[in-house]
Amino acid sequence: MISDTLTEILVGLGFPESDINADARLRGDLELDSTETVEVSLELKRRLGVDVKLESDQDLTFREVCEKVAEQLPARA
Amino acid sequence: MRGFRPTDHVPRRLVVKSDRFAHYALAASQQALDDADLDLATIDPFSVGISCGNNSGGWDICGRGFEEYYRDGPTMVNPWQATAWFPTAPQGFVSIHHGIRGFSKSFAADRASGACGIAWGARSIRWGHADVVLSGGSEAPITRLGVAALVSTGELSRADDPAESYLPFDPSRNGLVLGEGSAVLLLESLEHALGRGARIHGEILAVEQRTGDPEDAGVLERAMAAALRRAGAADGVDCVIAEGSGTFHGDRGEALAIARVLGRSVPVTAPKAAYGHLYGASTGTDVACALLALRTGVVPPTAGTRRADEQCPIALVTQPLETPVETVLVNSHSREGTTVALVVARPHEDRNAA
Repeated sequence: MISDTLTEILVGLGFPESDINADARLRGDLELDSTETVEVSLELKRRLGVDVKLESDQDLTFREVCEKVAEQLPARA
Repeated sequence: MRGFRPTDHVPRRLVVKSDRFAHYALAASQQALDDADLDLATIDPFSVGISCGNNSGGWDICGRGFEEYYRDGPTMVNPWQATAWFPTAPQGFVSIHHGIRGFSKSFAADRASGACGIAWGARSIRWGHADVVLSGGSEAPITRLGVAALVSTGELSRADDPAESYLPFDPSRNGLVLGEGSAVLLLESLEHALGRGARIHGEILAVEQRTGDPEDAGVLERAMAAALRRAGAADGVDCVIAEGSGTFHGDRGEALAIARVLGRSVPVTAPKAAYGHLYGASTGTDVACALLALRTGVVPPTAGTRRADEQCPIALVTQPLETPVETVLVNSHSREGTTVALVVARPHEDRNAA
């Protein structure tokens, strides 16, 4: 599950799992700083091989990030 | 450092962004503030400074960053590489974490890095730049890359047997062993400490810094003599905590300098033989040893060394020595000649009422 991977990445960065939900915005709600946002992109690349840019002006929610990752992953059987 | 869990001391988000040497510094700074019973939120943040030594930077995160760069490419390097490795990182992270805004500096001066931090911390109080300074340093060089870099100094012991590896002033001394950790002392002006009823562990009577030709131990003599003069300790001190680099010429030069300035009978010790040379954290740890000697009346031994080399004419302490201790001289001397001598004394009797 993409959402499990993203949750693991955020917990690894020190964000409490209890703060993480589908509607949480990375910057506005979880308060990721710019370096943490970059690291989320790098970890998604390392773990899933996807290029998801999160440094844009748009503050994506957890769900939106999962959707962007899903667009890039080959369809699963 | 065995048993050290960064997340016991530092919020996880900060642990992730920083190197081990910053974790040590954050932990030691918090312990210093707790011990001093000082809540920084209650005083002007511009009256508080940090003066911190570090020699090696963050080798742990450098190892990771190099692997990311060479294995995965330049776009895959972790985003903290630039800020986390740098020798000023402990100063930066500690100041951000505690909201410290005052006059602060970091020092990289080989084995004397931490001594420079304490010297400048004390000086900044004397100059009136600060009332309180978190002062000392941090060091975490024990990684594959870090040790490889430090081997090139030629100062590391090559002994196979750990018991024979770091023997300051011993006839068979063969270099030093690296240690890791952080030591942070909370320096405070006497007025500020008395004003808040602080428990005072000791008073720094003098810190003198000199630089000279690394081959010339005269620089140590000049620094020690100047420190004793400023401290008003014309009669000498009760013990010396030596640099004790464990190198053949370094220890001989220091021993001769001590003998010339203080005579051959003053007890001399290098407790770092037990836990390794801490570079940035070295002098902070030595001063902590001095404060314990002032409190307990026991001079800690130079562990491992059996007897002083005949060419080192000093009264080396090789077993715990019970003796009245009122004043201690602490030496720090770098490979390239940066030298600090510091005199610390038992606090004046009427200053710790309780």
